Amino acid sequence: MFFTEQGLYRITTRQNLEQGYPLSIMLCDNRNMLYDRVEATEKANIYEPHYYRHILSDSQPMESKDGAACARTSFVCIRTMLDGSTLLFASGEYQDEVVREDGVLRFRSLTVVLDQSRIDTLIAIPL
Amino acid sequence: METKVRWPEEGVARAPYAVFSDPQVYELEQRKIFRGPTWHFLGLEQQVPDAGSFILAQVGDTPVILVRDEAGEVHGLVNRCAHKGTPLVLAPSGKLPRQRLMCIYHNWMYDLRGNLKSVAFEKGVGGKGGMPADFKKEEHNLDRLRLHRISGLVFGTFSADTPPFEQYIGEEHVANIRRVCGRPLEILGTYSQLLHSNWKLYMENVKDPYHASILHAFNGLMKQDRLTMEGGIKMGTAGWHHISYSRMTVDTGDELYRTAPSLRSAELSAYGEGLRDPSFTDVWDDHGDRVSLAVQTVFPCFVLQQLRNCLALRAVVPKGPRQTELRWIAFGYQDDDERRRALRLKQANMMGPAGLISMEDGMVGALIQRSIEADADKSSVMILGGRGIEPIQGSRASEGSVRGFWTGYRHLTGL
Repeated sequence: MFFTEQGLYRITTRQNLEQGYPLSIMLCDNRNMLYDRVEATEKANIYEPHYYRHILSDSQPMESKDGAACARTSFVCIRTMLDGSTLLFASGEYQDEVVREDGVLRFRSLTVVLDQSRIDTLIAIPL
Repeated sequence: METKVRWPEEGVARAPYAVFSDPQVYELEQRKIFRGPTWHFLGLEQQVPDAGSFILAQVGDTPVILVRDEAGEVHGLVNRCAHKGTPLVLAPSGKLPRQRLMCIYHNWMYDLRGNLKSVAFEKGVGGKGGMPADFKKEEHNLDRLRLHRISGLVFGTFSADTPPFEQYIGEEHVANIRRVCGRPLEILGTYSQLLHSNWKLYMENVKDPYHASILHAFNGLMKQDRLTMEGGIKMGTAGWHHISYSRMTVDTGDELYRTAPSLRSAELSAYGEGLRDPSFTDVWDDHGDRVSLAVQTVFPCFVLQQLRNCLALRAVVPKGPRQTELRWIAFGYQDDDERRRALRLKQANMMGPAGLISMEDGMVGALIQRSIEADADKSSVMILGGRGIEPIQGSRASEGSVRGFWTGYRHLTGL
């Protein structure tokens, strides 16, 4: 379990964040929603199969917040379809709040801030 | 150069595949539809709240500035300087620092109504050069659109022949816009998708109730939208527009969706025993009529979506024959309390590029675009619910609304 019980995972865009808009592309605000999203992705949603390849930067520690260690990490995600066509699909920043629970480090929140406000086709698999 | 595409004799029960890729058809559409007697969504009033506020909209291939002037009026101006064609506005939205549009290239300057007010070096330098004596600024104003404002939405048209908006869409369609947007809106956010398919493949998809509980397994299994629900289709003026609506509280579909051999949902038995987090189903009646789903299109490229409490506007922007940009604006109401706002944001999981309901819509067009390339002389077959555009009372088991799109399309293009 990588997230706390009420852990937050969301994907949003830089533009929305800068304009103060709360909209998410994907939003899970507890473990059950994470489970539901993964199950939908695996069993219900239909999309062409593809792979992600993430490249991450070093994590930059930020000031801690309400007992959580915070960090920012840049990422690039390359998406490859089964026919081999490859796209620099997404880039941006992970904004994390991490807490220790029962001796284990878990995400209290993980926000994916995309540089792209225009997404190629869809996002089926969480980034 | 005229297109060689000819429509099959079966009329709107067919769509010839060539219209999804032929470059001459694309040019014809730009002239006859996007510059023709049609209305196009430009933006929300509240996206341009102050004097000098602007957003950049798109009508077909033409970029349009929606801007508010000092007197509080909004204007739709083509984003192109009358001098050499330079765009005047380079960002998708913003606020002009002074109440004018100034071109970066030669500083031709326009007021916020699009009138040319000054050009650099008009009188030359030291009595030499400058504009000729017969130069009249009023002959070089920006191209403008005629606007219509309804419930905080702004539409525009290029053509002097376009009927008034309310006549263009019809009474029931005006009523639904007022139903969903007729109180102060709160924008929750925006994003867009780049789809690898012709814009009309997306419009067909939005207007098609046939696929909704099938392609989107989530709909059928989560009992959000099934063809067995009480509902129907309203076609709007001449059948070009549509509203597909349903009431989820009145559904008899359990047995059908779980057992019919012709439905995929019957095979997904392990899924949909219930969401582990039930907060998705925490819905309320925003409009007081128990209609839980209403998807409305205004020909050619506008969508107003109500999926339970998940509300959004979509603008469909062609980008050449094989690409489309799908722009979304999610909204709620200014009088939403924290709880409703949070639930709308949760329900927004259903829309957009990662939409539990909508993700397939952008993807299926790309699949079709590829598979029809080799047989551009063939056509699709759309005869569910008949061959015409009369709605079937109380039923959505029909492709009539898709045939309605092609009716408007053929009327304007002459194809």
